[in-house]
Amino acid sequence: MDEINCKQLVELVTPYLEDSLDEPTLDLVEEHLVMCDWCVDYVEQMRATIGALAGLPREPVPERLRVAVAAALEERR
Amino acid sequence: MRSYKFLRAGAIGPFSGFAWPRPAGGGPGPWVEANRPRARCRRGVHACRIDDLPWWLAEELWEVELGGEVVAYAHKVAAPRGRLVRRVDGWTAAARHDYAYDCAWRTRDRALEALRGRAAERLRSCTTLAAVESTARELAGDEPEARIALVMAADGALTAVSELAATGAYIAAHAARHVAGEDAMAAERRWQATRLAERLGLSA
Amino acid sequence: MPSASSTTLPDFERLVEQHYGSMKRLARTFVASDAVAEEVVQDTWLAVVTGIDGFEGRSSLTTWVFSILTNKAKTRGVRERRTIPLSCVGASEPDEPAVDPDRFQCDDDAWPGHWATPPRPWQRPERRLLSLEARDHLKAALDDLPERQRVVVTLRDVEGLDADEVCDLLGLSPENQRVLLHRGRARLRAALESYVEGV
Repeated sequence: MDEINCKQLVELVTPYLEDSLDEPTLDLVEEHLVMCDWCVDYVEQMRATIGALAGLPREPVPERLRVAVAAALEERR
Repeated sequence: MRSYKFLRAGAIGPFSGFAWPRPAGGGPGPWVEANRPRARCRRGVHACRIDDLPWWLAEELWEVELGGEVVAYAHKVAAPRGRLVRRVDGWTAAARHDYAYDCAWRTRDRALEALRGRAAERLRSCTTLAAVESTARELAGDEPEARIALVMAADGALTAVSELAATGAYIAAHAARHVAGEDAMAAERRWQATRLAERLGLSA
Repeated sequence: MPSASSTTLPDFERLVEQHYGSMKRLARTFVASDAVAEEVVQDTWLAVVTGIDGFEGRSSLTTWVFSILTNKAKTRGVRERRTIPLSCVGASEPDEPAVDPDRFQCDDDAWPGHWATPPRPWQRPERRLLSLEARDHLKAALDDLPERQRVVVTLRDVEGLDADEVCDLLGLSPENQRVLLHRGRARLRAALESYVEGV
């Protein structure tokens, strides 16, 4: 195949972002991204989603667990 | 063989985000090795022959020099290292605008090849791309034979107004294929390359 | 992440806080209730504190903690006769496109396979941190993911483990892991898109 469309590109975003596409496929993705601003947006939105996941607020730790860990640490001393 | 490279504003690589070191003091910029840590492209520094340019249109055009073995691919060449030699000053925002407009008018002309009579007259008499867009979309509803070519002309007009040169070139090439076949598509791409080379004084 | 020595302990309080949600999510895939998942997390941390001197730093501390968790959770899950283990992801998974196919042009349109309804723009630039409310929405969407997608996305994107580590922990093939990650992320992006659109 000598080009890909948007529907194909969105299925390649995960390996694209991980740099694990083989080179011919990477070429196809890049050639598409040059002419398709919408897919550029899609990729950027995917990057933003992944970035936001890394920064998700943490779930509060139950008191019971906190106490148990503290007690175990105390026992080490 | 001269090579060229399209970059984003500020000499930034369009995919890698790599900031290319620019020439200073009259000489070329420093060599950049492809195998940097976190390099996106494993095949090396990419560049264009003149014929490749229409696939890669972006804000800045640079003449580049490649070092080491240059390998050719369908729409690019690659080498282990490269350096920016000079900015092609003629590729300005205005030049990009004109180019996008030219591609859009050619896409309109391509749709004319598929039309006859009154519909053809209406599309031919458009004097602005805004008119091309609305007329072509309207005609697409009435002209089943030429529907796709008309939608392509409308889409081409729309992208030109947004100055999306690479998209416009893509549309023109595909409109050529739709109306006149694979050879016409290849010829359209060659026209696109020649148009760039002539206006910008690029040599192979 | 500091490696353990007999004189310098990691900041356990911070680590417990940092990883609690992900650990609970992972444990929950092996056991039958939230309460049991919490117990498994607690057992894990107690084992980590007791056994920290034996941590040789061959993997990251996070990976080590998660592998202890996985072992404990599996044992507990087997005991309780929990349903299908995570690793049973068949090659016959139904297709799940990353984007609703209706969003693309069809074969008799001018540009088959190209966007018909393109991605709606988010605040620009997209890389800017999403608002607090958007992040809450993202967290809810993560909790709503199908279980296997949820745990892979949690380990890869929330916890930052790499693909190999996640495959080892969960007994997944690289292909399965990639598919689950891909689909989970696609659903989350779509969830954020709906949220942004609704604002």
